[in-house]
Amino acid sequence: MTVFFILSCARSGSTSLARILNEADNGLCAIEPTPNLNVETRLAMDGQLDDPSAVVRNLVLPRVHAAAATTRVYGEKNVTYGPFIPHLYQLTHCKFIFLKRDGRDVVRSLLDWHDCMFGDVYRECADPGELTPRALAAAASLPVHRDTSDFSRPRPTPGSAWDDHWETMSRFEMCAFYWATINDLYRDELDRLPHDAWFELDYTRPDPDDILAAADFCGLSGITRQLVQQLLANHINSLQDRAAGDPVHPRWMDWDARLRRSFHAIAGPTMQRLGFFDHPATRWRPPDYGRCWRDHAADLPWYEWMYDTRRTMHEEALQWIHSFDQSPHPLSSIADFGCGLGVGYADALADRRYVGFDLVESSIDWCRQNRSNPRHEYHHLDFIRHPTPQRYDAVISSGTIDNAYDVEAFLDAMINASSRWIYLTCYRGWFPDLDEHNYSWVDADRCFYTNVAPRRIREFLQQRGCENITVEPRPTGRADIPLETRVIATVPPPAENAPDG
Amino acid sequence: MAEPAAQPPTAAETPPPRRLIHHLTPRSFFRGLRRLIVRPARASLERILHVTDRFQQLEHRIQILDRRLARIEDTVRQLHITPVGRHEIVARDMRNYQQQVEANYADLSDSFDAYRQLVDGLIRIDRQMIIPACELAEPPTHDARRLALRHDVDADPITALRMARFLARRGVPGSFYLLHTAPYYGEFHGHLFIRTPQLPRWIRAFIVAGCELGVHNDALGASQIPGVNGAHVLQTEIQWLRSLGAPVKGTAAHNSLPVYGAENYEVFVGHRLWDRTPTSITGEPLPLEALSEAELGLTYEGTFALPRTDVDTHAADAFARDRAAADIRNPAWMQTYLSANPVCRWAVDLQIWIVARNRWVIGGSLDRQPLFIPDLSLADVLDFVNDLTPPANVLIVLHPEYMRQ
Repeated sequence: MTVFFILSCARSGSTSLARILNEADNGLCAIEPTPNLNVETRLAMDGQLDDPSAVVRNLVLPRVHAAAATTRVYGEKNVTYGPFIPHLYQLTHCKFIFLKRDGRDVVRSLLDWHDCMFGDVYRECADPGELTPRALAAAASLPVHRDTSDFSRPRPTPGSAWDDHWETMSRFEMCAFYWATINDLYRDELDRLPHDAWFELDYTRPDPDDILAAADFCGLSGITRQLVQQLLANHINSLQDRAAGDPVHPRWMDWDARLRRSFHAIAGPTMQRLGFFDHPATRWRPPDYGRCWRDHAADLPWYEWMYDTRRTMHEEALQWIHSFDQSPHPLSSIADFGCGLGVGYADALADRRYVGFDLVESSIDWCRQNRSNPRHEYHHLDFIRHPTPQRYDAVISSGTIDNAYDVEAFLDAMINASSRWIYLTCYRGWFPDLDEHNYSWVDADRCFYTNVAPRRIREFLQQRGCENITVEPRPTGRADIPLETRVIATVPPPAENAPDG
Repeated sequence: MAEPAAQPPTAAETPPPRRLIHHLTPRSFFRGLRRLIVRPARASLERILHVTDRFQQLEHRIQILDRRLARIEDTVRQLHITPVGRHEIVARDMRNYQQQVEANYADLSDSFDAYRQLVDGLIRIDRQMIIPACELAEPPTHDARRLALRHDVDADPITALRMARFLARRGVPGSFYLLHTAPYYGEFHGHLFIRTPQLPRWIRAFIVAGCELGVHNDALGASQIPGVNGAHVLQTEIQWLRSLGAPVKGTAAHNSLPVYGAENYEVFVGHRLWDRTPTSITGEPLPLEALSEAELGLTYEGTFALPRTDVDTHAADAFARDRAAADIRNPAWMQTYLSANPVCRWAVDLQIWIVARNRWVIGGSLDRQPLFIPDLSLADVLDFVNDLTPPANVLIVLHPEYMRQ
């Protein structure tokens, strides 16, 4: 008999996967069979379980052996196997499916689970949450000493990271800790096993082909692609599936900068370890970011109309550049982040080096075909992720940061690309009362519309060592957006000896 | 509906002129004089006296109202109560309240870490079961030391919540009893009871923390307020807590016999300690046995006191009258209360009370012998419980204000 265990943290899709795999014609997959090891896993994580192997022998092996009499392939899912992985492997010669899901989605789902369903996710949290009557009743009917589910979740052990902060941490932060701790535990244990003993499956956006590959890995047969698609469409064990309504907590794309910082501080390393981003600068870049610009690239009339709409701001920027012309150190090389078709700037900066960068390849292609100034260059580049080939006297950006996936990574990229100055404007307005950058994601456009917090911009530039910082409102002369945000600063000396442009 | 407009009388309806003097005689003269002058004058005088009386009554009522308003104003001034909303619901400034709690208990209070040490120390003890107080009333099913953590929330709901949260982190049950006559809970203004606005949120937090939540019964305390029915007050608060989702199973009586001349749990049928008729400070009989626990859906009383069948009424009266001695920091009184109580026996083997900073007492009976140990440290308490031979039912009585710093 082949034995497999599905490893995942809660709210990652393991119930959905188990139901799909249970459709095999040569095996079965049990969902949370008991004993579910809720208590034992916590004791083990807290270092209070003397013999984890005995737990597997006494609590898991009997049901595995019982299944052997009825099926050729037996699998089960629980969210508590972490500390028992080596013993499960040793005692059952099993395979593992490591099911991972983007931690940000898991955190959101846990918070919704708490507020809408059970009211018992990290019951010690200072904020009880905004519970629905259903969730409140569920919490009231389950006293903490009988709530093995919440008990099973890890807490910082004395002296460990986050232990001192735990009492004041929000439920959001506790859930991030949960996701990171459990997934790190899984990966730590799996990394000690032969690589063919486990299969990694990303359930963030489950792909039927990946699920079929997982079934094949376990030796399960009889599951069709059509069946997988059908079951995935049911959103098994979601809030809607459990008749608990729609999610109430925002998607991670709509988290503000404070939530982003909190999450990344706790779960960032695990996110990178599990491959949810490959570089710190892109950790907040959603899949298909900027697709609308690629699919529906704007033409010259649109860019000219856009330039005219914000003409005052553009003219101020150019005026600022020209103000250095009579100084001992004129700005002789300019990089433009989000240059579009170079409207306005290509002509006004014809007498100096001007290098435009843009995410939209078709715009860059247009510039290369239609802009012939030998002093000018145009590059297709996600400049947040990839450094520019050179540094420039000034890096400017006009109304692009508002649509970026990470304001601070954007600023960082500007600083890194500049040898002297950065200059940018935020087209969405002036928001002096904001404590945090307020991100808002629009699915249809696949981009953010961010209200930028001036005080956070200033703080960040100061932290990065910038000087001569100006973050100020500038009148636009327009009724709809009377003020825009303008940021000017000098950058610190480069840490690396990159060539100047 | 509008009244019909009055019509002037017609000529046919006009009455003839009245004849005032007709067949005048001395007798009829004086009779007429009386009718015309004396009787109206008397009637007028009576009306004047009646109005004067009404004026006096009104004046008296205004004075009462004025005094009440002055009291409310004074309270508002002293306690930083802020009018909220158009109904002028008054709310206590809880930050100021907490500061006063801190000041009042500064000399008695231990650190919160002592609470952590207590809980973690109890968890580490073998063959123990920490159970909610509601389960302590049930017969034991294991040969274990059954421990219940009873938290009487007299003054400090914030620390109480912190304790509930710490227990949740450890997966350990605790029982918390909110004192409905405490300033943090609410206040009477005349007959009007106004609960603290933060209270519903605290209760939700207790529910989410998964602890047992009950009422710290002060029905007799409420009965000291003129015109207030303490039994009704207790019943109302139980129902109110339940309306917020708290599954209230029990109460735990606040204060002790000498304070009101009766124990608060005597408000329940079957809990009268002996036959007498204690009264409130206003002379009203206290509402003993006014409520049925069964009818209220209550399954236990959290002091675990049971009436004795052999009460020495002289000793009971003396114990009830000795209010000066009634202090949990008075070892002699605590010994009497816990180990030689003249009015009740206990349904638990032992009680462990924190009475001041790192100062505990243990009282009750062990092997049917009275036991009382004063002046114990927390470490002593943990050692004692560790050495206790199972089975044993132990009630640990905590007041959050003693472990709050």
